[in-house]
Amino acid sequence: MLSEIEKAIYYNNLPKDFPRCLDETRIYFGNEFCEHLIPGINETSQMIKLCKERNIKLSYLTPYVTDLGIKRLLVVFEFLNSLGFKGEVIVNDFGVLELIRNKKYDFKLVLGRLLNRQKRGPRLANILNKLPADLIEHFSSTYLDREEVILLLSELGIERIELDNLPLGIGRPSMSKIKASIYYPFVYISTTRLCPTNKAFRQNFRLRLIEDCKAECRICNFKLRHKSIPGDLILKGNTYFLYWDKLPSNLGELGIDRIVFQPEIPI
Amino acid sequence: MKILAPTNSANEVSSLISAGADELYCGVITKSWREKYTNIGSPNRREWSSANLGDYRELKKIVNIAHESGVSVWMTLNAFYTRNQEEIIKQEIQNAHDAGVDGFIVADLGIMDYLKSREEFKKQKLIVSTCATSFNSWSIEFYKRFSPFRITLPRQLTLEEIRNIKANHSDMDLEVFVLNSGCKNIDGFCTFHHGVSEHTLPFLWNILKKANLDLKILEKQRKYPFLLGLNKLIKGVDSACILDYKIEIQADVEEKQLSKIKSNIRKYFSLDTGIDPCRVCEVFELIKSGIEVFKIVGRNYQTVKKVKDIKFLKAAIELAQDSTYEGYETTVRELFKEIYNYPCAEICYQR
Repeated sequence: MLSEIEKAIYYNNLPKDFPRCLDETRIYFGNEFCEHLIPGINETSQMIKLCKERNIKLSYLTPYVTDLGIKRLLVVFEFLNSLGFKGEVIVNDFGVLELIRNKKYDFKLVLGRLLNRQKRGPRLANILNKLPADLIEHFSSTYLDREEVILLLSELGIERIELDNLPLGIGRPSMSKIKASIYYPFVYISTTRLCPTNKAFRQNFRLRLIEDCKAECRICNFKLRHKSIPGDLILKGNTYFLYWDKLPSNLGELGIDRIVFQPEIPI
Repeated sequence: MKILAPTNSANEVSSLISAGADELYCGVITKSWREKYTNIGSPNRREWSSANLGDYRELKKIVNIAHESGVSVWMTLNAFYTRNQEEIIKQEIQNAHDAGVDGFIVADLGIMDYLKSREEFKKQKLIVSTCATSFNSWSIEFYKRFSPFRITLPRQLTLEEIRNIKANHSDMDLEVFVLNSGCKNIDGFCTFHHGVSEHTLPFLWNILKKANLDLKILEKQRKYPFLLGLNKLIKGVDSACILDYKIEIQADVEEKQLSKIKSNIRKYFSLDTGIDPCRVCEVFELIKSGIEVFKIVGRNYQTVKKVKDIKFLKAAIELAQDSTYEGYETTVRELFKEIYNYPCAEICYQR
């Protein structure tokens, strides 16, 4: 069944050793979590070149952004548009969606995993037997699968939604009207602009101050362990992840037609 | 300028209004909702029972008292509702409508659209919740399609960023958090569960809550910060963002730097930073930027704390409207000490 499903691979940066042959037919490139890490025109241009050489499709990932991040993205979008790029742009910010619609770029719009609002907190895994079935069903679902929301997404030009591979399992209607991708093995958990990694490198820090980024996340990450959480939480940069590599066996039934493999912590 | 204040009981509404609240907000977790989804699956972003009303009769009482004084009441419905909740949440909206609320605080696009499209809810206004994560001017533009009365900005925006958004949307009322809470992670993007211990340890939780013990301890800690050391005893009881984690560092740095990193990262996760932060020192600049509404967090706090918060903010707003900036900041700290009877801990949002 997996052979019927499109395979994609995820890169935040240009990989140092880009494999000559890939199993995947699509590359996800960009950043979902930090506006300081948005790849510029040079990197994007090189990635486009690599994709063309290998006949691989490109999906461009974008993070949640302030007005500063919007300016950075606008430069990249104008560049993509100038190349006649008609591929996917994954939005994790409704402002970015509005910008793309307003500028009438011919990109395919995909709603990113930050906007599916799946609840992923890993602490429930240890107390599943104490939870009602309705709650588990709720936490394995996304609000995006409500009929009225699907209609709204369609009006907004959204063609696909992105999902995380929840340890609780994925609950989707078997005939959902919107296509979905699933990311693995890193499950997004939480993010902040009060970047813990940035603060870890300072002589003194103010907890609630957004400080200048020096991309400390490039040389450091953390594993957080607590008895109430099965497995480790992974903190990289400003974002927390859980490692979970068991994909559901019934992806097709769940309306999931693409798996997105993250070879490294996706930030 | 308006003060939007939290409430969790009809008994405190008159006190909050007398203190200066212009608007109130609250949430409801009914028994039937709790049976299906527990407190962990709350219909709003406060999962603790003590932060919520238990039924719509209580909500109606709050609305009646508030409306007698011309004060609006907002119902918080800022979770995201999945397919099986669709009919239930619409019934909750109907119940709140019947109780007479002035509007809803919402993050779910489908609910925004539903409220806008239904004739029976034309009188109810929409506040776009902080959980809708409006971090930039284009996101304000996005939400305008739902005809909101107001949009709440995320806590994690700097003064300059807020100023910029407001300058681009002078036609839209914006609301800013100025007192209490201050999650380290972003509301709306954070998927950690809260209220887990209330569900798994209901007996302990009931004792704590009935005696208001947690809030009393917190109040003492505000006054005597050295008592924050006691938090080591309760770490791990509730929110995942302040658990007592064992931390393993993978870093390509020198040993000397590693010890600093270890120390800082432990401080970051420490509950010792849990005293309520605020940005009241920025109210002067926020008013100058055109911000109309200042929101106080803390539905579950004791009435006495809520009243002090409102009085402090009201005094600060009055001061800000008639002051030079330097004079404002000095005086507002004096006001803080006068009202709370302990000095400002200088734990600020974004400073």
